[in-house]
Amino acid sequence: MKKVWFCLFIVFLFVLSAGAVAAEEKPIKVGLQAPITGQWAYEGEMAKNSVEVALQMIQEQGGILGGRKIEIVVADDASNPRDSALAAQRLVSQRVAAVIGTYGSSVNEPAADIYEASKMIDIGYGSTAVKLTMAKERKYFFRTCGRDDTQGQFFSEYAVGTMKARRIAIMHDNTTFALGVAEEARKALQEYLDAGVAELVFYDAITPGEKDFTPILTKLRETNPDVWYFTGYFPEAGLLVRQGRELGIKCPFVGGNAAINEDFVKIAGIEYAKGCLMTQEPMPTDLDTPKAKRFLELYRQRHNTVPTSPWPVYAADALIALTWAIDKAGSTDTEAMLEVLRTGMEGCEGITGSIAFTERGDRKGIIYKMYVVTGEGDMVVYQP
Amino acid sequence: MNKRHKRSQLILGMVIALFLAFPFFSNFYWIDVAFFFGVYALLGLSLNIVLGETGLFDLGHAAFYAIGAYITAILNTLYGIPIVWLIPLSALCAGIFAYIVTSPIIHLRGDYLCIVTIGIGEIVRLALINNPFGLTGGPNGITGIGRPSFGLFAIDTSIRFYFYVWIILAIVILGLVRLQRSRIGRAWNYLREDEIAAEMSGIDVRHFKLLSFVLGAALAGVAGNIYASKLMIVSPDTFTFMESSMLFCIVMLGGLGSIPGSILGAGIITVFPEIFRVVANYRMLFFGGALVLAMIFRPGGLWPRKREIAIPNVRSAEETEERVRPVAVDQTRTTARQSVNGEASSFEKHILVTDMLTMKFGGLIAVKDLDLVVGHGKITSIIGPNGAGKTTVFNVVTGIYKPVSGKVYFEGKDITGFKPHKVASLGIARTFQNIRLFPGLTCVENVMAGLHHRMSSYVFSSIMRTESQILEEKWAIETAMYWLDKTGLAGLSDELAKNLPYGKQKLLELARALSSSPKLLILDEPSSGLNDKETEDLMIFLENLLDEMDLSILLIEHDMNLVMGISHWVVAMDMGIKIAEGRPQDIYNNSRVIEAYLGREE
Repeated sequence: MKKVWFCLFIVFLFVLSAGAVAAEEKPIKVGLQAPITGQWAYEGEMAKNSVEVALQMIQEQGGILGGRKIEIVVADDASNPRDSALAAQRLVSQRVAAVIGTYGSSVNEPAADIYEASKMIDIGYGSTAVKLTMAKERKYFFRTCGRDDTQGQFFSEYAVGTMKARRIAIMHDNTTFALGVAEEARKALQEYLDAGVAELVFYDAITPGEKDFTPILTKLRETNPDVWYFTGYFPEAGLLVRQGRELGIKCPFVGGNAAINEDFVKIAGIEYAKGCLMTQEPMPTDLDTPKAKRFLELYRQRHNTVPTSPWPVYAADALIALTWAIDKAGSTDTEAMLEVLRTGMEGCEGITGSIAFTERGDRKGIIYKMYVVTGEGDMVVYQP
Repeated sequence: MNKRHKRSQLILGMVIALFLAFPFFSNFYWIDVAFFFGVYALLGLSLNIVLGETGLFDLGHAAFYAIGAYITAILNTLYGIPIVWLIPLSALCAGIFAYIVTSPIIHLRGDYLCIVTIGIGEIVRLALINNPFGLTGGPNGITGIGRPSFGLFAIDTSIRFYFYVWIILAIVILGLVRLQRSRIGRAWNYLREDEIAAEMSGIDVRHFKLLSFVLGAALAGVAGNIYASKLMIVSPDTFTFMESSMLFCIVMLGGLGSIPGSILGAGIITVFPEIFRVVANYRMLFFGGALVLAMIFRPGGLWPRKREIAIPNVRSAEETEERVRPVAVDQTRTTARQSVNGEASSFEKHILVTDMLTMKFGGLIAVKDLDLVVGHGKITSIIGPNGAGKTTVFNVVTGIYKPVSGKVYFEGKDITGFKPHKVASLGIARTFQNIRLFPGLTCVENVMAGLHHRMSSYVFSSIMRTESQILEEKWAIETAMYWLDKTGLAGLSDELAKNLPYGKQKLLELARALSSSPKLLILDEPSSGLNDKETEDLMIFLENLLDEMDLSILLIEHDMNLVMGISHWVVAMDMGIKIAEGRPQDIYNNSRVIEAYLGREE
């Protein structure tokens, strides 16, 4: 008899505790789709760490919806489209509130389609291909990172605004990427052209793979530019700089983020490479917002290192944007969150600066930085 | 038999019911997993044709998969051709690509072929990344691929895709099962088991290897099409070396040449990593561990192909009905041949003639200026000490080696330098010094190898099971059974060749050679390893054959009793040179022959 009572007591305890758990609100689940395995596993790992650090920062500031818990659900996409589709379906079936992810445009593409079909918000953090937002209408897709061609816009503003250049030369190589950046630079330049403060003196393409660029460089020299922007890739960039300098083109050279790397320095030679500029997403350590300082501090505490590529902080920004949207919407209702992401982002400060989105879901006013090649061939933030 | 049949039907029915019901009590995630299971089953089956059935080590199979996917993506996005129409086109392009890239390398064996296929896989992937002619979209790939649709019914949801891929898979399985149990499937298996024996049985090695590559690639192309339309994007990071290795794993894990095995392997490869998702970072570690354990405990594969039941429906008919005597069937051919020989009477006496035949290996002269004559309807023996060049003569005559100089005439026709399968189809069959059977195949399948070149059904008729193909198969099985019966192996027809005792293996090899109705039978040491009684039986058997069939025999033999007992003519060789020839008793007493065997008397 004693035993029976004991058993009943245990059962009673269980029921009570279950009730207690049910009474407490369930945590909000946010999905993170990232390459945890595969060839970009280190990117996935850093993204996961960054999101966790961002979560800690959010909780430090009192959390959202009156301190509701947030749980990150990680889904591995192994950097390939098939696993990406499966990871997306898995997050959808786990009924997460929204998703952060992922790294790699071609990997993001099938996942974005699944989130779109399932009416689930997805904020990409390392997928910069233009077509992700521009090729088809995606209502539920956003990204905190820039688009491949956004740096063109940054270049124009920087060249005219900071460098005070008047005569601008833009050169591309007709590849989708380089043409996109050049076109975007030209578009952003338009208002300066209209205002008469700048002049587009040169806009032409080279042929990739060629070795001798003397004819086109002679043409460029005749236009006497103040700044010269090349949006293509490093093998041509290196040759252009070397041959251009030898022809006597003295104006500053600015490369897109595909133009300048260690090989560029080798091809151009350090004497010519030194002082060349590059438009690029800033490395986390080069960020100077207050949030970025706190972020790096916490990241160092937890992992004893800092993120070594520009992308993980955009994942952290995606979490900040999502929690902002949930908090403002007052619930995890997708349509309400969408409304906030589209129109109510005023005042949302992320690690890379204030976060807001265009109507197609691209990041508005993304922060780029101008980098410069030092005498040792390293790249550091340019201080004019 | 009947009970077993019923039970397997019941299991099949249950599996089908489970597959039909599955999407309705599952979520989209598991439905998508099941979809990819289907795609990988298709890929596994396509590689199984090459690796499993034919035994060609292909570690670049993802290349063909990529070709199918990219053809679909490019033609759909650029010209708006509907996805469904692109299925045959993807298959065709992948097949043509396979033909072009594998024809120069098809003669490579084992690891060499393996390395070259790795190269092909990487070249294709890198080409896709480098965006040739702006077609492949570089590393980001091609997006905006359409969905398949049949009229107004579009395949656009997970459930529909699930049924789409499994219905295609079911059709493919049906076709492959039929192909596997046909002349084509057997030819592939012969190549896998023993290439030289297959070639000597009359199988065109190059042709059937290429066929297996082309069909395997075509099927991978179909899988590529389905994959592209499901994900609506193709990009180079899908078609990596890792992908090819995964496909390799599927086939090895399931069991070489096993259709259910490949499907099971695909299930494991796709479903296991998903189950291990709970252990996040370590999921591939667990998965790898599971693969290692599987291969340790089931080295032959998890579901190896069962060979015992070779085409049961035809067999049961054969058991009850009166047996058609294949010799009677062959009679027409024999009489036709005689009339031809009547015209060319000079060759009636000599079926095989070699003229100044010379063969060298590097600096070593194996055979020098050999004139050999094999009488029609006679038994001719070649004797000589080890290293005399006897087997080399056989290898030159049957086309394995091309002679340095000299000619080989068969029935008056110059066959010098003919490929072995061509020589075999002209009517020369042989056995080998060290038995060369197809060890993993049944006895009846072994004997059917000899019938290959006398059959004509091809891929289409085998898959469609046309009437003529069914009749041909029936004929082949009956003929093979006749020869098994004749060599005393009737009860062992479903036994694997490797399980036979040595003596029976010799007989099986003889049955295989005889089943091709040869005009000339070449036997390389038929009595080695046989005891006196068995040798005696063999002598009687061979002599009877000469009486029954229009046959001539050329043999190498060390057993002097056998040589002297049955030969009509004996040729003695030493150091690559013919040292004597004549009737047996003359050779027996010839001083040069004795000298060659025993050394010169001082």
